[in-house]
Amino acid sequence: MNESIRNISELDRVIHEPGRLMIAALLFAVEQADFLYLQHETDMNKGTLSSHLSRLEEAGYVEITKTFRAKIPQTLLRLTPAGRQAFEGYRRNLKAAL
Amino acid sequence: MATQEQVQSYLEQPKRYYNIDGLGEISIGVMMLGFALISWLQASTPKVSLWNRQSSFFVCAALMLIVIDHGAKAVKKRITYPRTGFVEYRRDAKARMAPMVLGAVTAAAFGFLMKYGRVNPAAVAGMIVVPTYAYGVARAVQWKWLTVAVLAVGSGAIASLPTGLLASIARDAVAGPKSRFTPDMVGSWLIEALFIGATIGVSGGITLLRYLRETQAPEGAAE
Repeated sequence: MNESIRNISELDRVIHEPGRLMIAALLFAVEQADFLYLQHETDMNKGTLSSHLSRLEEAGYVEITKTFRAKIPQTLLRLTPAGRQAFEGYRRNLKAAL
Repeated sequence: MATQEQVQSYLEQPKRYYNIDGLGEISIGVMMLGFALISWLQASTPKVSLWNRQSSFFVCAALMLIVIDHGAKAVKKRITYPRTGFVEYRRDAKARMAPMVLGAVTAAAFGFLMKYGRVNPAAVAGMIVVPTYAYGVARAVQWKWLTVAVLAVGSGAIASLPTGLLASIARDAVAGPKSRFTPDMVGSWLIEALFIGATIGVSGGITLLRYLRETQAPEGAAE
């Protein structure tokens, strides 16, 4: 099989979806961020963003912590070590495929 | 399919977010004005005064940086995080060391050039600040190229000011016969630091005003 095609087939499907790729990249560059930040930076509505985050959480790539900031609920998000590894792997495969 | 450029752009987005409220620029502006103030105090007080001790300079600079850092964090906590979200940047040693090493090398090169090269401080500062600002800030926000142009033209104009005029600003400067810093060099640095600080500070102020006008904290919860 052509190596380039094999690299494409090896791309992580969870991260490959454009919305989730954006979320993963944004979280990869920081220690943690809240839901509001992701909503602002991705321009997604709450429902879409929540659904992508649930998918990433199911895959074990994102850790979601519910907390309070000055009595206001805050959802903190961070990539887990597995999420960081998966994102790095995705970038490697993408580079090799293109 | 996503391209590597797209992914790289996403990865750089959090860095750009730091100045979404203009506070990054305001901090740099205040820092430059602070350095101008310290330099002015050094230039206008006797050589034996407290201000001309090297330790005083480092203490003042450190205190200033701490105040700026805490001030920026306090403002972000009250204004930015409730409006467009909270970000905690990575704390790994590599990410922290890179800008510190770069800053130290640049400061050392600047100091070396000033001390031994007898070059115009305004020209050198302009050559450092203009490309750094263009890469770090203007690349992401189109209208900031206007600030780049102002910085470039202003630094060039300050560098071309007559030596006599620059020397008159710091006539009583501590630059004695043994000093390598002549009064015109001190004067040139003072004006350049004031100019850079004011320009970047005003640019950051405009960004902050626009940010306040265009954003609003979502009703109820931050989610």
